[in-house]
Parts: sequence; structure tokens; C-alpha cells
Amino acid sequence: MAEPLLHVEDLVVGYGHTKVLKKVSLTLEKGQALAVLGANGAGKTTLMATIAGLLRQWEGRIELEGQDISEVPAEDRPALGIVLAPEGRGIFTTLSIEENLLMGASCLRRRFGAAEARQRSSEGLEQVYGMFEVLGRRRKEKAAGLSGGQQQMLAIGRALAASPKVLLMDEPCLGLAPKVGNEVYAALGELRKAGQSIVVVEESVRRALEFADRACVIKLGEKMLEDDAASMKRDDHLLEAYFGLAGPAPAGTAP
Amino acid sequence: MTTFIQHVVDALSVGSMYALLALGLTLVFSVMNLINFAYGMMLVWSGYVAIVLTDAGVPFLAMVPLCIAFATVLSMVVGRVAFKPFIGAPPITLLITSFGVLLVIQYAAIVAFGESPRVLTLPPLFSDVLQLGDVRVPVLQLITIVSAAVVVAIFYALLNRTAFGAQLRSAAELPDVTRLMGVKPDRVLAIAFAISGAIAGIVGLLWFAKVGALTPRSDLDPTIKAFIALVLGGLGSARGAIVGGLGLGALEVGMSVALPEAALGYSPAIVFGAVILVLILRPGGLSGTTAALAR
Repeated sequence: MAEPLLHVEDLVVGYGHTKVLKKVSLTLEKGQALAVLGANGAGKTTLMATIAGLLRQWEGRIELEGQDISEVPAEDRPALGIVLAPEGRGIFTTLSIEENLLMGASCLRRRFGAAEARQRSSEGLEQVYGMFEVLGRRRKEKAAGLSGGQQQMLAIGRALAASPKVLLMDEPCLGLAPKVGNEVYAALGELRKAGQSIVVVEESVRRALEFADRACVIKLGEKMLEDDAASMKRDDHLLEAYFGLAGPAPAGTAP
Repeated sequence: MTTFIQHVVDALSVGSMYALLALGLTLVFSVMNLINFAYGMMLVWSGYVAIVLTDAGVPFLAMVPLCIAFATVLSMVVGRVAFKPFIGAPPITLLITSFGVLLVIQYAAIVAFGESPRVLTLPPLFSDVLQLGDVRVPVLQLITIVSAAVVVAIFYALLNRTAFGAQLRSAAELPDVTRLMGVKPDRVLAIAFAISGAIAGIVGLLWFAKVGALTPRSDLDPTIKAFIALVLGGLGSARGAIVGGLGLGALEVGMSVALPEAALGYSPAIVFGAVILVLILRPGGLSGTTAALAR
């Protein structure tokens, strides 16, 4: 059987003396979208930061295509194909939109060599401009002038420019109007259809379940369950027990 | 009118030197929050290398790039050995480290060159004075202004037109996110210390060509001027360094013109008073920027 694309095993992570993640495991197959759900403070962002290498695990291991990458520093992980679009978007506001995208593409050189990296970089940028037309139109402008939704598009575009094997999205709709959040998820949906493997951390449960193939729930640093997103969405008992949601989703968007 | 132009030229010359000093400091501050008190010693070493090379008969045009190269390498070595282990440490730790570094390289200079003043001898051209109409412009002043303009132009081109520059600006704004782009913090730090060192090498030559004598403790004056310029202009931004440097130059020359002779001794106090006033009225400095290298 082929190795999973990403496998996280018994991850224990904390800050100072406080344990935040307690033996969390998850697996992402190639082409799959996995939603990580949980309330504020559950440890979702800590999980993403650890997979991206910004935090070092106390215990456990992270494997990419069967290779242990637990000790690989954050700055070397994009070249392996692990790319995080961080919570709060992390846009470089003093750089232009195009410079932000080129920063995303800067890891390609180490992965593919100079000549191929150049080609992939320009193709990647064209793909992003095709997806988010506003970014193409304003490519020379400083990113500071973009709205929250446009900045999120830039964050997704910048991550895509790195040609990720695993795209980690941490709260892509945080602070966005519901309509803009829908646009962001529409873009992520397109990526998923194109075969991009994605792990998305989300507080908006119904939206995430709508989007993902599988989902897991983290509560106080522990993984409580993992299942197909479709069956989770149908399970009213579960939605009520973990998220206080009952009944059908409201029209338009969901909490 | 002629007198006014003369004062403007004087202020530009002094101010552009301060602007360069501040630029080298602000660059490292912006990427690692380091207030580097050892910076002045880069100038001092650049001056000593110039003296040693000149004494050894190295021609002036070869001596200048060698001094700049030496200061660049020294700055990179100091960054790698002394400051890199403290990336992410609280500013106070970095500040104390910089005092430690200052002492080490200062005492190395004392051991190597002794404490007696040494004089940097430059080609006679540097002592010439150009007569442009009624305005007298010493060649050294002109070289200082032109060097500063060239360095600032190269600095901005490097910062805004190269991948290195984008990495520096990114790291100055969001260091962790920059790592997520695959950029190694070591590399950013090495580039920042290299550019800072190269600028220090250039200013070292200009500074000691102007003041004449050099001792291992000659770092204090330029370091203080650089910090005043930075605080005036706004710490962490390139524009702040330039505005602060030129502002400080204008203030000093303005005081030397306007103050009665008996009050000239108080000019440092007036400068510090101006700094306090700026900090009260515009805490972000005259240019109104906070730590954003690109501004």
C-alpha cells in the first residue's frame, strides 16, 4: 500500500510547561481535503504551526510521503512541499502583490533547480492571476492596500506559488464577511477539484464539512474523532454535542 | 544668499554622513531588533585598516575597496558569532551582547594598535577646496555628499529591486512568515550584517578623513550621532535614517550659525532637547514611521 502523503503521529506540543496538543494523530491522502475542527484554543493553530515546523514537537513524528521530517526546520519544509498559509494571513504589507507571490515561489529554486523554478514560478503566478483576477490587475501595488478578502486571496495565491504537495490553510475566513468567506472557499474548492491536497483549520463547522472529504475534531488538545465529512455533516447528535449546532444549516453561510 | 548656500552645503555634508551612519544601524535593527552599540567599532576598524594599508604603500584606490571589504567581513563575522545565537532573544539581551561585542573588538584594537592617536593620511586632493562662485566646497565634503547619495541609491535599488531586498523587507516585517517562504533566517542576517558592515566601512573612511585622528575609543561619537539621527528620524526605517541624519546635520549647522559663541557649548544639550521634543510630539520619529525597512 502506498504511503500516505502526510502522516502525523502522536504529536505532543506545548509552550513553556503547558501541553497544548496531547498525542494527536492524523493522516492525509494525496488529493484529499481534511478539515480540522474545534473551538477557540483547542490547539488547531498549534497543530498547523508544528506541521509547518514553526513549533518543535515534544513527542511524536511527522512524515511526508513516508519520510520523517520531524526535525526539518520550518524554512526547509516549503522546498519539501509543505506550505502553510498562516492564521491572520501574514501578508507582507510593505511588499507589492507580485513580490508577495514571488516570496512564495522563492522555495522552488531549491526544489527544482534554477531553470525549472523560473518557469514554474511564472506559470504559478499566471495561475494565481487567473484565479484571482484582482491580484493580477493590481500586481504592482503594495499589498497593504488590499481588503481583508483580497489579502486572503493573496495568502492562498502565495502558498500556491510554492507549488505545495500539502497546502495548510489556517482559518482562511477569519475576520472576513460571510460573503467573502464563501468566495475564499469557492477558490479552495476549485483547487481541491484540481487535485490539491489540503488541510484546513476552520471554526465555521458547516462550511468546512461542506468543503472537506474528511474531518477531525480537536478538543482541549486531544483528537476526539475523525470521520468522513459527509457523514459528520449528517450526524445532528455529533454536531450538537461538539459544536452546539442543531437542525439544518442556515441559508447562505453557516457558523 | 551665498552664506545661506554655504550653510546648506555644510549641513548636507554633515547630515549625509549621519544619514549613512544611521542607515547601517537601522538595517540590522529592522531584521533582528538589535540596537548594536558595537557598530561604531566597525568604523574604527575600517579607519585602522586604511592606516595600515596606506602605511604599507597600498594605493588609495585599492585601499578603499579593501577597507570596505574588511568592514563587511568583520560585520558578518560579528553577526554570525556573536548575534546569531540570540535571534529572537529579548532586546535587552541583544543590547547587552552588543556591549560585550563592543568591548571585545575595542580591546582587540587596543592590543593591535595601542591607545595613541593615529592619523589617516589621504591624497592631497582631499584637502583641496573648490571655489564655486562665492561658495567654498571642500573636496572631502563633496565626496561625502556624493558617496552618501550613491550609497543610498544602491541601498534602495538593492532593497526594492532584488530578491535579497524583498527577503530583507519581509524578514523586517514578519520574520516567522518569511521562514514559511523557505527563507533561512541565517541568510537574512548575513545579508543585513554585510550591507551594514559595507556602509560602516565607507563611513569609517569619510569620518576619520574628516576628524583626522583615530584611537580605539573613537567609536563613541559616531555611535551617539547615529542613534540620535535614528531616534529623530524613526527607528527601523530607511527613510527615518535619512531624514534623521539630514535633520541632525541641519540642526548642528543651524546652531553653529545661530547661537552666540558663549552658548555653543550647550549645543549637545540642545540636540538632546530636540530629541526629547520629537519623541514627545512624534513618538515614531520625524518621518513618522515605525519599524518598516521599506519606508
